[in-house]
Amino acid sequence: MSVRWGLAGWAITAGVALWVGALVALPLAAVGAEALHRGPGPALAAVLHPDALRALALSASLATWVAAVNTVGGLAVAWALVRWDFPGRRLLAAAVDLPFAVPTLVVGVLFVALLGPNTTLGRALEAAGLRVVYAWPGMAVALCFVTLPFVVRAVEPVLAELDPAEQEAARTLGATRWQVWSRVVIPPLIPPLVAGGGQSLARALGEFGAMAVVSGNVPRETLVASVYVLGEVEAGQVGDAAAVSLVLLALAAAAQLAGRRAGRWLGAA
Amino acid sequence: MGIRATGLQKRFGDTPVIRGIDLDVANGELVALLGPSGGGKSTLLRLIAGLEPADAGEVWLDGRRVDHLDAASRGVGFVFQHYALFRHLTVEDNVAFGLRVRGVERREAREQARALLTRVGLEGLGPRWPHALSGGQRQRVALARALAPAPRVLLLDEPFGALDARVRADLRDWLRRLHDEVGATTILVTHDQEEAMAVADRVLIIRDGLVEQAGTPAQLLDQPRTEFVASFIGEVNVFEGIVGEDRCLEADGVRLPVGRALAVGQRARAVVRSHQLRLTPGGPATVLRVVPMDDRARVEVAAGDRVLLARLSRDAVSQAGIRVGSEVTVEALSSRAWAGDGPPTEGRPATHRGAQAAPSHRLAPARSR
Repeated sequence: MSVRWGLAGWAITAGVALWVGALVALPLAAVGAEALHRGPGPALAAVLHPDALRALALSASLATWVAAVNTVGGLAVAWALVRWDFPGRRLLAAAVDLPFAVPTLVVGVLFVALLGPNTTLGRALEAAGLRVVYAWPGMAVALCFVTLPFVVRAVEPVLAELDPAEQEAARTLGATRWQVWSRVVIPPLIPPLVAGGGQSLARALGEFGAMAVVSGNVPRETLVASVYVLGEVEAGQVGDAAAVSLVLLALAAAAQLAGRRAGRWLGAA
Repeated sequence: MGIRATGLQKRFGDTPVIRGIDLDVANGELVALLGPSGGGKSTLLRLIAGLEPADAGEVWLDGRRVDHLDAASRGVGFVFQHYALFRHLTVEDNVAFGLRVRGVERREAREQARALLTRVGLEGLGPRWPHALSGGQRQRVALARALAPAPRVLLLDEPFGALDARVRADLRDWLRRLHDEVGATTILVTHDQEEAMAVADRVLIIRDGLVEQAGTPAQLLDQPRTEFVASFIGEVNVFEGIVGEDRCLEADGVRLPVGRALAVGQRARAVVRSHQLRLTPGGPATVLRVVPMDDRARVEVAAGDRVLLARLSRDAVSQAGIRVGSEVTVEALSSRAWAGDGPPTEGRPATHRGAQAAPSHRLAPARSR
């Protein structure tokens, strides 16, 4: 649909450009300037500081795992929501959106309250030799909670649109059940899976609130990059904080972009 | 040989959909399943294809019993009403699908797919995406895809149902030629009688899960066994009344000779095709509309409290001076009458040619279509 490109059109476009520019581009540029105004040397040193490097690595590995778990788990949840009718389906559908509505700091508190060292469940797990809160498992679970909706919501509409007749057509053409699955059902789902996975990855990389509460923030062990950045800011090292932020930002942007690109490329249509 | 089914039954929950159908389609024959929607024709097709398991009965394809096999092993080509093309595959990969899953190497499969696309008149469209094609083109792709593994049996489920009238007419003529070239035994499901009559060697009228009548298009038109068949095919008027002393059923001011099989005083229904009604100037009925159609005209006549449909040549209409508002007498040249579920009786006027009289009986409401 094309709109007549009058003066009003230009004015609106200029307004939108200005709005997005002021809101997104300007702060991004500011972080870049803050990180690099002392030259690339100090910025690089800030990023390569062992604490920073470990925090970034932890964030990246957590985010990768979470994205992978979400891609598989999100597909399963979306499948259940679209294909099956069971009691409580509507409740489950509403619950999927909840993580977006709950403040992430509260998410952290939820998991500490559920699995912390002073809870029954936490004590039981600890006795079994599994430390959950203030350790890697708790952080991963909290991140999965926070990023759950991305894949589910991306896959759901595509799944709902799959025509069962396509699968029947494949059967009459001689496809085995596995071939129907791998050649007809899964391929159209790959673009939304990749896109949703990329969003999960980007979001998990930068998650702060839940991590600040659940991780325990032990440097070089459970301190994630976003919380490390806050520490640097509080210590007055704004330049170092900006340098690490820049790396986080670049990773997140790359994840999101790659997800969208790959999704479009694999989907092709 | 061909397609054979015996004693097929299928119910969905408590609802019987196929209630015992026998079917025999000769090798290379094209048979249409025709009937009102909800009558079970699509389900019958799906039972033959193996897309639904039958509750009872046998299916034989090409002399091989297949009812224990799943759809993938029956080797039938199936075409769906809404195309069901794979949206993530190009046109040529859609057509190649049935070859690829059989292990034909990609390049070879694509080459065969392109050859098939040429055959269905879609040369050069191979690299396109299905959604970039028109409905008629998509259905040709679906047909090419179904033909790719060279099935001996082709099953078409309302293949032209989603297309507009012009495209339908073109495609069905094309389909008949293609069928004759390919030589596969074909069953076509349709609710469009014109389509069934135009394309098929034989037509099965399916109603309420049973075969109401099977025959060539001419047999169904000329010797309908039941009132349903008579009134389902073509444009007809249905009359209801009581057989009089003169072996005529008199309804809505029309005398309908019904022959000897019905007893005097018996309540009966008679079906008269629109081209079997004759109009003569002067009389109790009034012309409501005259619709010219090629060399014929469809004339709507108000008779009593209902509307009758007559189809005459346009010459006859102008010679008789028939126009809107004309007063006419309606006569039936021939009719078929049924009393209850009995066999039909055929009647033609003998001595009196449509003597005109006022209705002598109170008539039950009758319908026309």
